[in-house]
Amino acid sequence: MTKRRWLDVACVGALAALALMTWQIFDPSVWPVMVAMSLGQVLGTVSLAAFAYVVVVDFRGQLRAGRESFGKKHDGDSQSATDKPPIPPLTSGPQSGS
Amino acid sequence: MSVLASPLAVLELACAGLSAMILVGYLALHPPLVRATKLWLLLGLGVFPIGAAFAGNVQGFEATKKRSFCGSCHVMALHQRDSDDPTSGSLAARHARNAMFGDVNCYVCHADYGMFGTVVTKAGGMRHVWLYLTEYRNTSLAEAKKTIRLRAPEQMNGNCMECHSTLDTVWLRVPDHKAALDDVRVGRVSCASEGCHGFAHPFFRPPGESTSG
Repeated sequence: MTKRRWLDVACVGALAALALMTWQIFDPSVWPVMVAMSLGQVLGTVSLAAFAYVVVVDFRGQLRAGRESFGKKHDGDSQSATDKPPIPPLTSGPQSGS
Repeated sequence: MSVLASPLAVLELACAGLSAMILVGYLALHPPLVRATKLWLLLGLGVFPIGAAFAGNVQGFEATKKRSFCGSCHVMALHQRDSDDPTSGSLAARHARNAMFGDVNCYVCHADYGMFGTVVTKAGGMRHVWLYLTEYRNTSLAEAKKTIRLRAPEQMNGNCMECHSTLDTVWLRVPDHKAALDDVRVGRVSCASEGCHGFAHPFFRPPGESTSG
């Protein structure tokens, strides 16, 4: 399942949870109150967990991408470093003013 | 609208409304998953629903104390009707007319007290739900009258004594109170018995007790 699909499911689940949780306000009898405090909260928690999962997966993906781009850049830097002309060795020639 | 009389209900509705707007907006627009979108979703899936759940829980726990909640199981309808009746002389109805009990009189008289009283009472309520689902769901009122009874009737005096401490001099001036003091305190003589203050509910009798009166 894609990240987008996970988020869609989380949003729909959270909307259902909110509906169940607000039902008890308008009808405070046994079933609405019990459903709000059990099923409603479980659905809401699962939705939040799904969102957290997507955020973590996305963050890890970004980390991986960053690491890869850093590696490429690093490799590129090493390559360009080798492309630079070699530093001429110091020579012990006659010093000026001596 | 009576719903708006409770600040908790208003808070829950506000949180739920804000959350729903964010979630519907996300579902309708499907914006790219950038940091701002994640923050909005954190509000819509986390912060506001948690606020709604918190307000809803408190509101729900308060709702479970109401007499109308207790009466929403059909086997309790007679109890509720009696308490609602302004002409009834039963103990339950007389207490319901007292402002200290009011529309939460079932809870005040049947709740367990002490530090964890509310938790124990709610756990006991779950037991009631279980029994209702497994045994009493299809029980007729006529049958319920005969079968529903207190699980620990000897403990009920303790609940009476939360208000009527048995230490007050006016209370002790009553000869019957004085004579039965020890028995009342340990629950051997029930305050809500036929010879004392009458049954709390007129329809129900402890097993084996006379149905007259």
